[in-house]
Amino acid sequence: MEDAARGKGRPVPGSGARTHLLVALLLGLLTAAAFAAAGARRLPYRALAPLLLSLAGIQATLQVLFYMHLRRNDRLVTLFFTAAAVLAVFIAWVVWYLLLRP
Amino acid sequence: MSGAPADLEPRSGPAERTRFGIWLWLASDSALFASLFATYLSLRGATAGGPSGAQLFDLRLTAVATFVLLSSSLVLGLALEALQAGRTAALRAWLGCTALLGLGFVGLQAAEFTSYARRGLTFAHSDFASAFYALVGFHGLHVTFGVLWLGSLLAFTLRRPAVAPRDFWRFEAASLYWYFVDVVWVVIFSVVYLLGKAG
Amino acid sequence: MSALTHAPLGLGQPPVPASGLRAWLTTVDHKRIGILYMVSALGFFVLGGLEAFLIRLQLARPDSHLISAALFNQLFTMHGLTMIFLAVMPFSIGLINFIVPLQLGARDVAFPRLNAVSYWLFLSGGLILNSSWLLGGAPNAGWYNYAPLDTGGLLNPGPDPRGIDFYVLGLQVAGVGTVLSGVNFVVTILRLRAPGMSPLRMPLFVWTALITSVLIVFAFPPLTANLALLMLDRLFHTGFFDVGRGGMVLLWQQLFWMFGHPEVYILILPAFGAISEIVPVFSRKALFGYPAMVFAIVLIAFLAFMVWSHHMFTVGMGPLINSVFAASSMIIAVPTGVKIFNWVATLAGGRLRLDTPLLYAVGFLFTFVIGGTSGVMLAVPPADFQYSGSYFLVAHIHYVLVGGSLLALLAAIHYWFPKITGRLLDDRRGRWGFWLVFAGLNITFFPMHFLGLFGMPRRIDTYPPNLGFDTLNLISTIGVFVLGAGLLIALANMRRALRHGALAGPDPWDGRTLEWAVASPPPEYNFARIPLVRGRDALWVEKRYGDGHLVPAAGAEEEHAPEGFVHLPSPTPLPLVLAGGVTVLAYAAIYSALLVALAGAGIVVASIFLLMYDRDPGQLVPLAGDAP
Repeated sequence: MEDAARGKGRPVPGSGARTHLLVALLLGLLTAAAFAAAGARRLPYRALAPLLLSLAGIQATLQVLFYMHLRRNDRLVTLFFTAAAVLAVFIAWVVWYLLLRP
Repeated sequence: MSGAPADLEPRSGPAERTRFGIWLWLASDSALFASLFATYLSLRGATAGGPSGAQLFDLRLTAVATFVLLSSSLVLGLALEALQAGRTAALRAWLGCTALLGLGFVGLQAAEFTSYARRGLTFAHSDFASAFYALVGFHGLHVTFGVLWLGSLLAFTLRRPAVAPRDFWRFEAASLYWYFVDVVWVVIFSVVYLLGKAG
Repeated sequence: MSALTHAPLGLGQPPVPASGLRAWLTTVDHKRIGILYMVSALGFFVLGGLEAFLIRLQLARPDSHLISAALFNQLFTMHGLTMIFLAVMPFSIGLINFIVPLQLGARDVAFPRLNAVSYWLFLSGGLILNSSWLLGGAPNAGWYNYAPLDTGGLLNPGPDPRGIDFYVLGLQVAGVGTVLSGVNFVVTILRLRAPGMSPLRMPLFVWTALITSVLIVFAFPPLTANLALLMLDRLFHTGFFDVGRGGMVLLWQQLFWMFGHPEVYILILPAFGAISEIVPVFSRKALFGYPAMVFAIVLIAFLAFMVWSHHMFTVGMGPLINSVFAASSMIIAVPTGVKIFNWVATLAGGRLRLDTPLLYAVGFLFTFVIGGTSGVMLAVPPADFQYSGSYFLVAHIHYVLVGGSLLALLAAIHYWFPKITGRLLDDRRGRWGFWLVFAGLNITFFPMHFLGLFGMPRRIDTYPPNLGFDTLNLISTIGVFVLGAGLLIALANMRRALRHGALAGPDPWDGRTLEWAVASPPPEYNFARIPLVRGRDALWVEKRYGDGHLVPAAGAEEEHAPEGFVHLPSPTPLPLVLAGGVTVLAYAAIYSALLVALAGAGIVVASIFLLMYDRDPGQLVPLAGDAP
């Protein structure tokens, strides 16, 4: 019956305030970790950048997945948004690379 | 050309279509932010002898603003739970909190920009300045529009004793937008502030 | 369209008038919006054609002083902008608007009021851009408006160099409308297909509409960002593109072509879709290799985002980068080639009906291949260094845009005119038009290949004699007269048909797709009952395996209405008001008027919220006579 509920786009029974708080807590911890890493003096830039970007990626994914947990979304929608995210990163990175090449 | 019909396409409802449309529009908005990110990344070195990000950014302020915005997302989620459970009073309260937190975020940003301007980082001062204000300011505009949107939803709930299921899509649409704005902020504070301060 | 007024929905609402100016200004019907787009696009096309005509008159002879250099710069800029943004693309969008819901077996697009907003934004943007002619001069830095020419100052002086501001705001406004259309069409195609229409049963025109819309959604944002940065440079004196301030000239080009290359596929894909509809019907044969055709379209769209820097081979990115983009640009020719082969294979062995639509389609095959070949030549960086920025490039773009998009859209007009207007075009006049257009375009643009190879740069307002350019330029200008004559005949044919043309029935061509099952023009509700689709080429399936009539799908209605009625959305003036607010905002930005800008913004925000919360009770439309 839960699957039927999922299929119809209604929220999955059993989700509730608790899940929200858990996700919020996780996001908060990740954010704190990111700030701590940036504040730490001993991390070289080359290690810091990928670390922060990964943390950002995880947080962003969490936000998106968290929303989708409230509603079952179509695979196609996920595909579009993922494509958008991939394309966005691609655009930003390539343009930045091409412009800042020596 | 078979006689039997292929998988009969289930008719989706208008609410689902609206959500789908908003996802698509957010996808295009992501591409827009990506262009502004590319611009910022390419130009952030051009400080024209003026202050740079590393000199200006106060990570404590950024942390506060970040937690304000993240809390607003949490609270909005609680509002949606209240909506689906039919608890209208809770819905109004959480919705109001979200809007207030959003407004708080905008206020913090405004204060931050003003303090930078007083220290010499005006909009046209350097390309770093312009790119920074364009990117972060554009995000701030998104938050502002979101606050207005949430305000209109609050007004909508105040004008009726309860929200009918056929109106749920209005709240889901706004929350989708609000989460997106929060996601963009995550990327901004990581790439602009944290990497800018440390790198 | 029926002139009957409609029954109110019992809430004290007055009946909605179905004709007259007010009906057109407040319509949310995809068919009317489609017609508005197409008619507006035709109007802008005439304007762009006049600009081209003046350009060719100036270039007919060496050392000509017919037109000043300053005016010439504005002419070629506006010609490019008008043809691309205000003619070809909106016409395609209009055609998609009218035809796609019918081909899907739907009643309208997913968001009818958003559809109206898109149209009025397009019209506003086009008018804003063209108002520059009357308000101090049109933009003059070319249709792609490179920095630093576009930031004004030393490099672009003038009594009132505001033209670029009109470029920025006009395109920005029109662009927003376009993105909204893209979103609208994707949701429509992926959610409103009639029962039984799986994706691989959709007509090719619908597939190209889908992919074009996806391209629009992802490609326009970099342009939006670019225009915004330029606006900030001009309004607030920032220096994004100003090298002296640490900015980057190439930033403009990178962002522009990130948009600009997918844009050219946006311009050609709907044309491809129309050809894929016409060739099977007039060959009386199913389209050859449908799955390959679909795959080719998807591949083209994906690759479209990988080739943009081939517009920038000569800016100094270096041989490695150039090679990467050269390779991807050559690869993208492959799926396009697949489509050409499949069209030819459809024609081969078919019982051809050489009516005007097929003539245009076959002409398209010739000229588009020529355009594609010159494109591959341009994709070779060492060679491109020789003829980039020359008339060779002008020849290429016109072969693909005129020989490609325009011919295909003319084919589409001749094919779907009976459905849209209910009248038949005269085929004899149609052929005359075709041959003159076909001959004219080749006479105009083929010599340009040689002009480019002989060294004539593009965008020059005149040239000295005896450099080998004289004769070819004269021939090219003569070609314009032939092309123009053909286009005038085509237009006159349409005008004549609207007044005295024979009535077209629902299916004058013995069509294969759903739009030919309804009356010409279709009733407001499209289908009396949503059809059940039982195969690819849905109507053909019914003709071949059924009784030629559509089978209604059970339980397909979303909106409940009493027997004999259909529930449709009501017209509303809000989209027009919204566009009006945006226009006010745009002019405020051009003239740096803060209070006016705030007023405009207020109108925009208010309209958005009104549209959001307007609970439209809709209208009940009576079903006419017999189904469908």
